[in-house]
Amino acid sequence: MRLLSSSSPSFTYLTKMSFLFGSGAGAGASQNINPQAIEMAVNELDLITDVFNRLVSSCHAKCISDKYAEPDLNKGEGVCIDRCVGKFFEVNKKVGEKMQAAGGGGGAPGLM
Amino acid sequence: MADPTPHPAPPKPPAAAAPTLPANPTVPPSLRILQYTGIPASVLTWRPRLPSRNWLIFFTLTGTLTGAWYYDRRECRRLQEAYKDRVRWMAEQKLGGPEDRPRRLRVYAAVWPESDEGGAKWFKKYVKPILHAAAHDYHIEIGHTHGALTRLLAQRIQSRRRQALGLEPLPPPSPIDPSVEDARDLAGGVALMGRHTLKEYLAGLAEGWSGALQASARDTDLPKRIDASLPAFPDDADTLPAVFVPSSEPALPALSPPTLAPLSGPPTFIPAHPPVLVIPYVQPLGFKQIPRMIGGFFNHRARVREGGDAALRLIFGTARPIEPPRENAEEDFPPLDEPLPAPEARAPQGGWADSELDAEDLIKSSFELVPSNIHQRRKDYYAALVPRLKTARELALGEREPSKEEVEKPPKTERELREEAVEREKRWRDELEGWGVARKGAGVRWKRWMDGLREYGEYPEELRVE
Repeated sequence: MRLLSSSSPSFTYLTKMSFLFGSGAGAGASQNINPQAIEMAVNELDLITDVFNRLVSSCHAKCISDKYAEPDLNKGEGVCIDRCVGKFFEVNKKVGEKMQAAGGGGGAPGLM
Repeated sequence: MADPTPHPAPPKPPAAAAPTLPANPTVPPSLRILQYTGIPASVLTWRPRLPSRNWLIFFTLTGTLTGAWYYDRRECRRLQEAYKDRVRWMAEQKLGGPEDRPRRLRVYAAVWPESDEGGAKWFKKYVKPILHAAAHDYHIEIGHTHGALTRLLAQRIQSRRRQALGLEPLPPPSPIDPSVEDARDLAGGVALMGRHTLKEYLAGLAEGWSGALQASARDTDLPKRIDASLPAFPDDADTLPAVFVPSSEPALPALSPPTLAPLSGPPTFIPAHPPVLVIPYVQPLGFKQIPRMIGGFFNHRARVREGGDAALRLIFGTARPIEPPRENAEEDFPPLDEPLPAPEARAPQGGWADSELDAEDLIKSSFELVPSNIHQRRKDYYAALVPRLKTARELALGEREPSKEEVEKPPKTERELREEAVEREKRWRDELEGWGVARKGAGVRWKRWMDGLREYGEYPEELRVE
């Protein structure tokens, strides 16, 4: 269940949004477009999108059975998703620490 | 006078006949027509027979034990499913959106006296499945050494007090509102695994809230105090054990006062505390408990009942005020820093402070020997420190060249040895304080404000599992 992909129309909209958030300036953005800043923002958004998609598909596969009795989430599934998300980020953090210890986390900045 | 009618002599028993084989069994009349069909005679004359005496003993014993074991485990499964069935409807309710967080209980499990483990595994086996079926979340804190939970809680509470006064930097802002988290904790409830955890927990609360607010955390302050109270390493290394460990008691030297004065006394207002439940948990240790352990192997269903009842009380029980202990219950205890008096026959404290009091009967009597044990370990440590100190001094002064092993693995310098000694002393002090809380008959560290605590009462009768 992919929510966003790099080629979707919503992507360009969000890139502009994040650039606006990043620079802090409201209106006059067109004069000061820094291609490097845009590229960094694009990369970061790609990264976050990828993590989000993985998280959603992983926790959906683990917590929600494939027999859909009703469309709403129930409390048991809610607890499962809470725990799944918590564990996912714990694992992310630990793996990030180990990679940094093993020498430079590569090009990707650590998350959270 | 002769008997007029002499009785005939009793008949002589017949001469013992030579033992003969039993007569050949005959084919019963109903099966005689099958005699000529070719079926062997042994099949036609078969009669059921009991096995021999020894086999009978074996089958009886094995069958009884296996049956008892199998019956018990089957009952365990049935009972646990029955408990889960009482609460499954809660997990099937609709989730009210991302803000609808599940109820989260805090479970504390301290280590049993003279053991390495506490009630965490018991909780996960007997209570957690029912909480999970009811879509309740929990967070378990495990104490790995004696007094670990006490120290953890006291540090947390003192940290909170310092943050409230603005004397300590607040934790980094998280996306979750801290007041929402506090409300969630209050609604969540606290579960304590056994009386030993109750004692450590209340000692931590007492130390945290009723103790003077220290300027710095215990873990940073204590090593400095220990360093100040220990004598310096003497010039003559051989006298080190005598200087550091005089042969008389007490186990540990008196501690110098804190480096910084306390900031304030106890607060006038202590925030509300969630309701508490003490879950019955014991750990029988020792040779004399073996019959009890063997009986317990065939009686896991009793534990399933206890765990299930505790879970239902946590889920459905209404909070009610506790029964406070007797009037002078809080005078029994000096602060943890001062030397401990020997507990003479203490009267029980009464009320909720005596929860699970009979669990203390299972604490081994050798637990009283912890201070003399620590004393002995100190002596051994400092005796072993003498050659290491000599080596460090010789190498530092250049009196000799380091040997091949010492080049590869350089021994500790005198300063590092001092740090190591201070760290060991801290560990021994932690152990002694934990022992002081956990001792049999030491009672619970009660403070008057604890009269306002609440506990989980009974759950509705119709939910009871038979």
